Amino acid sequence: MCATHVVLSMTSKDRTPESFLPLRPVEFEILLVLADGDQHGYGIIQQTEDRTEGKLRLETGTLYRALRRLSSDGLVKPSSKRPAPDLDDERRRYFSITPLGRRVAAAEARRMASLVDTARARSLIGGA
Amino acid sequence: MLAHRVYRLLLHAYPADFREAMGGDMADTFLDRYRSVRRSAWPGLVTFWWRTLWDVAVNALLEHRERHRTEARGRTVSHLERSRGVMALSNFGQDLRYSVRRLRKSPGFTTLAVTIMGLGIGANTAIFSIVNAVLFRPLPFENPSEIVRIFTTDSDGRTPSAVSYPDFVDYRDQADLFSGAVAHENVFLSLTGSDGSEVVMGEFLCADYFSVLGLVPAVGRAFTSEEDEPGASDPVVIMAHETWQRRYGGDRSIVGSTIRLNGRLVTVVGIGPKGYAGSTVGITSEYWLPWGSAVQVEPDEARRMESRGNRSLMMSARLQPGVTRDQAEAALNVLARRLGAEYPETNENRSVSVFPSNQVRLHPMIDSALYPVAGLLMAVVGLVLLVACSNIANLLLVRAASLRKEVAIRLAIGARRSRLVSQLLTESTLLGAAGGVAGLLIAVWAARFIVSFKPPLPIPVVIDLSLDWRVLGFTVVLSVITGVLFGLAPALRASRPDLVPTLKDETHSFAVKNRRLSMRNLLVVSQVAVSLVLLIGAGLFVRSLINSQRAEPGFETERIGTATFNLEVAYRDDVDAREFMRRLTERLEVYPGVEAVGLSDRLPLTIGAQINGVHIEDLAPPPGEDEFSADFASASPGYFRTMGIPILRGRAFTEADNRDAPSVAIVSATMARRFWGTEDVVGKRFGRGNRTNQVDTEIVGVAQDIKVRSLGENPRSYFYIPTGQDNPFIVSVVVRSSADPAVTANVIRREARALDSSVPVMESGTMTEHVGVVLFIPRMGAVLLLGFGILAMALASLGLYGVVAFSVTQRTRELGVRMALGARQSQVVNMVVAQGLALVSVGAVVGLALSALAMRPVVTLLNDVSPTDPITLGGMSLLLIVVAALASYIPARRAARSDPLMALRSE
Repeated sequence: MCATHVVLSMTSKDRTPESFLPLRPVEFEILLVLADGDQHGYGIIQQTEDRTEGKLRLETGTLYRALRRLSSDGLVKPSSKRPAPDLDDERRRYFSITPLGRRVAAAEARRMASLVDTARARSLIGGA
Repeated sequence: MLAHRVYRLLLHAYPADFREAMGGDMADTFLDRYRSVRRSAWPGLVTFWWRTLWDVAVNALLEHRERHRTEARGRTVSHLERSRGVMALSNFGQDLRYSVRRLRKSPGFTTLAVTIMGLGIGANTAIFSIVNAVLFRPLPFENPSEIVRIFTTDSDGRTPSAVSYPDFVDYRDQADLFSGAVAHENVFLSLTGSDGSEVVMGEFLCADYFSVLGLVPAVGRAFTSEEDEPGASDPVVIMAHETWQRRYGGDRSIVGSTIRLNGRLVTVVGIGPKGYAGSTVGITSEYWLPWGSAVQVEPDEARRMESRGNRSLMMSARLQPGVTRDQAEAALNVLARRLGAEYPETNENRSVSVFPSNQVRLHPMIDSALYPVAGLLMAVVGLVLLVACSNIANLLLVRAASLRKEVAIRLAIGARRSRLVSQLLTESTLLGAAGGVAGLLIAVWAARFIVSFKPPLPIPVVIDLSLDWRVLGFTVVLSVITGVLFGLAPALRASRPDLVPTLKDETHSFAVKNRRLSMRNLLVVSQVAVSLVLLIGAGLFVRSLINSQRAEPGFETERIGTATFNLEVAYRDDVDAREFMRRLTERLEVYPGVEAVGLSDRLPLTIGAQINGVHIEDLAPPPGEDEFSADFASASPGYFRTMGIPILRGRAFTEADNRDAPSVAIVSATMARRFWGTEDVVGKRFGRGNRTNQVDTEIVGVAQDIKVRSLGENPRSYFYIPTGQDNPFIVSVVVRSSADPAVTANVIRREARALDSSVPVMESGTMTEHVGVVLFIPRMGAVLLLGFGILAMALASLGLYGVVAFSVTQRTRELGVRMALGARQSQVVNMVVAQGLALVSVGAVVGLALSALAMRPVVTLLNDVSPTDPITLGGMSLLLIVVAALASYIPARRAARSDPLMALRSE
């Protein structure tokens, strides 16, 4: 069992950010939110909804499966439970983005930016 | 909190390791989301739960599948997680394949089970799709959550009613509340085509109606704001999409051309959105006109629009962002109080109610009656489904019993019980799913069939039954739940057999067999009981219907044709309307074969009621009632002879009873007796109308009682006034002739059209058809209940047949032993049938007791039939027992005819 775990952690540390691309859209959304600061599950859902004006509504199952994947890949780290400011006395588990997670999110953003540039160059969309 | 616990239970669908890692957080997040949704209206809650269930189902499945894929891709996952995850998924696939194989190997059982499930689920889905179309499906507005309906509340403070045009304008001008407010009025219009005039439904509405509600015309344009102003432009109209398809074949060139409404030429400027037929569910509007055109087509409309007390508009508004329903209602009530002070005659004590648009279907008053009816219907089909489920549970129990040796072996070599249970559950869920598919097909057909019983009203009632996600979702959820429901008990039972006797192949001991049988017996008994309740209900309604049909209406129905005309839309002037009726009567009277012609403003047994106050000197109304009242109608001199209503005392009306003569009336025998006892009433007087506005009337005759509102009623107070002394709005012509009454009805229409083709016909046919209209509801009730009762009985019989058949297969060896020891075939058959009948008898007794309770609240709907009517009860019980006996007999005979030696040799 120990050997397996050692193999696991060594494997994730050796991976380059680019090897995680392309990210699933849900995963990228989560990393975006967490890049701004630690957040609990419901907070991630709320922020994503606000940012997209209600167009993207994350369901609980989808969110936590993605968080699990991101955790096991080392992009996100669950932290201990803290009281959430919008709930009275209740403690929620917060998640934070890891340095690797930040690098992966940046790589994905750059990938998307290059796609957008290509689309612009081919006159699919306009604008500077 | 309950919701929290339910969600934690649902989380068990996920793989165990996922649940351990994330379950707590997921439950917390669920709680947060639930709290934010909890206080909204129930449609929001239903959506929330639906999304939650869907989320759990999909993601749990994906998570299981991911485990499998993880293993296949070779990524390094912890050893424990891998073995459990892979096992879970490969087990699921294995279970599925195994179940399919087993179900295919017993086609008889599978077909039976799927048919039963299909019928049960189909009935439920059919009723739900109708309920959905009437109660749940939202109107195709943009952002419907922002739209509210606004009603004036009557002076009794409770009854929401329409708003008047001046009030509407004042409410609309609350710009801080609404980003837009509109109103519409349902009206009858006369559409004149090449083959005469007919009455159609339309709406007068604000020019910005479509844009405020977010409706986009399919062709052409919406109205402009100038078209709201009276006289600013020529009359224009937008036609409904369905009308455009039906009347003009979808020809685009109709836009820009004219049609004739109420005698005026109106230009068609657009076609409404597809699927939109007006803002009142169930009433189909075909033509929409803005106010500016409305007053040109209907001159009285201008006067109605100026009168603050004339309340006939339905008002809707779109709330400004951030304004809640409560705020709007409070603000409008402040305004209403101010209006009440400014205009006391019309607005005193009127307040305002604001409803979210998705909570009002027809009208808040009617809606409150719709929900219980819907609930009752769903309960009835729910019972049918229960019967179906317990059927299949029984079948599965019996079938699982046949597996006991295999199960015993597997348990003995160490299989986990939960594995066996999940395998059996997979099979039952698969059956449920197949039943759901079958049910969906049955439901589509059944719903169309039920809705095709169109109530014979002059208003077209259309219910849009296209399948939407709600109906599909309902079916899926129902299939899965029933699959689990009927599969759980048998699965748990089957995985717990007594190992040793089974492995030793011994016949089960008497005690064990009895214990296992009792659950099956209970299921059969309950099915029989429920079926009997439904059948008795059906029988009572059928008898009530027959009684209604045989009841004497008190007037001639055989050789009378009738036609009803709407004079109000055709003639501005009373004089012209009377002239039309006089000339029509004249022409019909001399027509060959015609014996008598009469007129009335309201034929008896028309749906609804027309009532007037009755005031008699020295006679006070009973305590608690404001005044006496009676139903009434107008009648021409020839009416009584035409309808065959005898005049018992005094005289019928004559031509002299016109507007210049004193007011007279003819009363029914019951009315005479009720108010004047045994005195002679001819010459007596009474005041008709409301207390402050009475018309002094002299009684000139007494007519025999007739049925007025329904065929089952007790004789009621009824009086007639001369047509010559009444305002001619809507008039029915009745003609008795020696010809076929259908032909007579055609003749009436033809003569009327020849006189003036702009007068629309509202309804026309034979008197027998007219009387049949009032039988529509009892007929529908009887048909539905009979249908469901027979369905339940068929299901119960199928279930009984299945149980007996399989149990006989079980007892092959025992029966073989009996026959080898000398029992005759007939004795074996009798034994099996007797045991089956014993069960059914117990069920019948329970059913009879239940029906006595269940039928009591329905007494008022039954015409002259007691809820414990012995003929119905006895008849239905007998029917059930005979069918049950047959269901037991067939397998019994098959068993008895088998070769005893073969039976002994089987295991």
